[in-house]
Amino acid sequence: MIPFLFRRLLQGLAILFTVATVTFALIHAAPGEPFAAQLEDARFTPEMSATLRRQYGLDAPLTTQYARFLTQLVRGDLGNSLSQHRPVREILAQALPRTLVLMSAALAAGFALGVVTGAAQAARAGTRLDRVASRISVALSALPDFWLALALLLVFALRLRWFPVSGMMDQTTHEYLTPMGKLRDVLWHLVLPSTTLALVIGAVVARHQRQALVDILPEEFVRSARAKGVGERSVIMRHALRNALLPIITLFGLALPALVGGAVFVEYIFAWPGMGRVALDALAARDYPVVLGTTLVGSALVVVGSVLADLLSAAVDPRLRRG
Amino acid sequence: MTAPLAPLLRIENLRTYFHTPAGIARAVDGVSFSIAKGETVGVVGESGCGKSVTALSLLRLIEAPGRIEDGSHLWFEGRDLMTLGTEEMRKVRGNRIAMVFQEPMTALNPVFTVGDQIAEVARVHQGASRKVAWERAVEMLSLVGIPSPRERASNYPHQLSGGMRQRVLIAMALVMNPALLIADEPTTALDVTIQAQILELLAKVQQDFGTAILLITHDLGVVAESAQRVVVMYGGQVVEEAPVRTLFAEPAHPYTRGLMQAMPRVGMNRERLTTIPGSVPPPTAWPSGCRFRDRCSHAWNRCEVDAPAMIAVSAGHQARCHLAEGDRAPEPTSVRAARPL
Amino acid sequence: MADTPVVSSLAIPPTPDGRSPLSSTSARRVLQLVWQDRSARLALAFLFTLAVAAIAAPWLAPYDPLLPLDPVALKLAPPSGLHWFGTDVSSRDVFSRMLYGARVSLAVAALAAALASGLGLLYGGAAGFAGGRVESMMMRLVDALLAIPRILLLITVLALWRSVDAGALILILGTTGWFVVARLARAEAAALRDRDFVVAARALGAAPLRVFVRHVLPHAAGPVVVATTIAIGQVIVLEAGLSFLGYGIAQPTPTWGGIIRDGRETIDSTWWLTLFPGLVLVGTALAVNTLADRLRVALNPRQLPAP
Repeated sequence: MIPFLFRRLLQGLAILFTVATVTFALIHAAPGEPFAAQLEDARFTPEMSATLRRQYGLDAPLTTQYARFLTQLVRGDLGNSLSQHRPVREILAQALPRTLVLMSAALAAGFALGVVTGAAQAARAGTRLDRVASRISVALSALPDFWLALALLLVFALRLRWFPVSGMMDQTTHEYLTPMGKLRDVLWHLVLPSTTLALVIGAVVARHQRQALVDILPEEFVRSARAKGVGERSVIMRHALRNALLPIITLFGLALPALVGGAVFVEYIFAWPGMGRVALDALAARDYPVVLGTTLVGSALVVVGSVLADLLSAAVDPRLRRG
Repeated sequence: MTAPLAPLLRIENLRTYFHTPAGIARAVDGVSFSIAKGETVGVVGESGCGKSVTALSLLRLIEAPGRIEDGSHLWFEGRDLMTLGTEEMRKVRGNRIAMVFQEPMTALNPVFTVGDQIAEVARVHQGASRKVAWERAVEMLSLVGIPSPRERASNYPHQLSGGMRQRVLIAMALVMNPALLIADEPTTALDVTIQAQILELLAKVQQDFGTAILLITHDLGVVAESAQRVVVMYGGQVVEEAPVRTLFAEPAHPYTRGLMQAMPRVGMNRERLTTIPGSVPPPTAWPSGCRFRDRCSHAWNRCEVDAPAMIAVSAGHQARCHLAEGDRAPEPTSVRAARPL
Repeated sequence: MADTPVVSSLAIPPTPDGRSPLSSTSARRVLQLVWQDRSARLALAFLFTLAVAAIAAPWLAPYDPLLPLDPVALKLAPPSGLHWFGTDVSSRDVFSRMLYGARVSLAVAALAAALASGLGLLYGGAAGFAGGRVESMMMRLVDALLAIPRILLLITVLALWRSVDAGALILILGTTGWFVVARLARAEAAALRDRDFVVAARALGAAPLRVFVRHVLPHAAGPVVVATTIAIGQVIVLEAGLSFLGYGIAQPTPTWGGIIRDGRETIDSTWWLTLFPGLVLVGTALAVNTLADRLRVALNPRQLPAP
């Protein structure tokens, strides 16, 4: 198990390294100099530009810049925000947990929903209920995330007024709430954005789970379990499901990039102050360091998630533990 | 029926049909026989004769589009299993009647330890606690002759050899000390040496616990070694039934004789093995009259119109053939030319 | 999230005589198989109608999509007999804008998907065909690129390159979407690399490039066709998303995402600005996905479709 874990971590690091390199290449492949906007500010004299260039290290040869870039990364230094005059790291350190909260809630709800629905469908494969449920999941998974978010916003926040329209907390009253109250405030704000993502996740997971179970149920060991006198519910939930979970975990790993992407739109629409929001604001302000930082952190999230998925797979299926 | 006491299991007119879009496949079409307490009965036949389906039907593990048809009775321990509800039937499975499947690798769940899977039987039927059930599992592993049972119990199926996995399946079946053990081709997937060990194990189980065994196989050698009575199946029906010695000494049905001739034997002085010409007809379209007639070298026109019933040949020996009642072709028929396969 | 890649299931075995499943005779058969399925027929009909409407927009549109009709009276008017989909904040007819928006969506999606698939096919095919260390290194790059959430990559590129006319958008979308296809193409090419007819061609002295282009690429094209179809659907949604964020094709060119964006401020009252573009988007995405599913089954009869 340990050598397996170690190898996976190394692979993850290799990918992160490549992502960083690609990002670096992008910066320098873009037309004009990096940070050209700042540098070509008319108020700067040529001397000042030169100084600034030196400060940013742009006068050095590419390889030196690359080395510097990498060392900075390893130290966790992502540069400074051009619009907020703060280290990028600080901005992201604030925003990342918020995105994680959103994604975790969405994943938990979405997978739970998907696994249960998929299992229920597989147990009743071919019935009308199954077909109807399949149509619904196909439709849900074809919906653009942002449109679903808007629809939910319109119906539940604006029309029905069950949930708040935006933000992570009620700006005016939050500070005056008790800790319990603060938690409830945030949770109440979390519902709509995470539900949006959870619905789409749930639909995709349900489809895959259903298929996975349908593939597993005819297996010999399922029949064996029945022959032992194990009750039907236990046969499905305990014997079949654990085997059918494997493809789902793999799915999780593969779908991570799309999930993080979906979070961007949802954060934008619901004004949830996570990394997606930060990235978009930075894009508007042409704040490259922040944009690059979010790309790197986002990719890191994906890599970490996929290593976790592999670990989880090995935990569920002992055959994978041989590394 | 040879048992002096009431039999443990009496299958009466079992019919299991599969209702497919291509037609009704009458996989088991009126099978009747009994098993006495502590007796080993071998069921032999080629693939497609319905023996595995019979076994699955006993435990009522047939799934759609298959169905055990009305008029089938499975008398066991004083009750007709066909009349039991889902929950009652569940209590029989693994408890009073247990089954050992053919392929040990696929019959075991790959994500649970073998100990866990054996223990599950005790938990399900006895409500045993985890600890007690685990101990029982270790005990069973030891019983079936697996060395270092306590360590082995924590292994996963893929970590064990084929022979050991088969022993695990047997252990799983014996946890509740069932009255009847159904073994579906228990040795087919194994090497010859392991085969012998497994058969020995089954014999020991029968001796020590008085378990009746229904041994399903296509291998006459296995039957010769292990069974006390033999049921030969063909075309979804029983075509011959006899004590094992009698069957091998005087097979009455042409099919049985064909099977025995087809068996390679040490010291044979032939270049080619005899085969039974032709192949098993599809269960959706059994021939009229005797189902074996197209492949039988003794068939004549009566066989086409008149389906033979089981006719007594001698004590405890019956065969489904007109020849058994002394009837034969009006004029000698030549041995049928082998049909191209 | 909806665009989860289905990489492994897209592998298609070549026909026994080595012919590509996409040779002309089987192409007809493939179309036949697709046509037989009811939902695929519906999907095709929908897409066809959409394409026709888009091409014929200048003739079909009742109003000029860029023209403010009556800034006072017709500002944000709900759907009516005169304006089937209502008007927007600048009193432009939404139906006409959507027709013209279809041109943008379909054209950008088709071209970007084609570009992406072309790039992916070449890159992945070359990697698979080359084998060995070259293949590993090339695919490592793809793994890394796949780890970057696409929207973040797009944001990065947009931040650095700035200009967003249609051409640039197609280029950007195309160059950020070839990774999955590259994986597929590599798998196919690697499988074909050692097959007899490839080895035979090389033994006859054919240059590797010729072998690659003539023999390997056509075979790898099979799953790529399915992936391209899926990609078109993804890009339509992505382009709409970008326009919604304000980074797609610049206003005043009508885009579906742009219409939704326009309606965001007043979403509570102007439901039509969100509903109609949304419905068309969903419909299109559904149609494309259905079609891709049937294509996959048609190209590989051993695959069983989900209900």
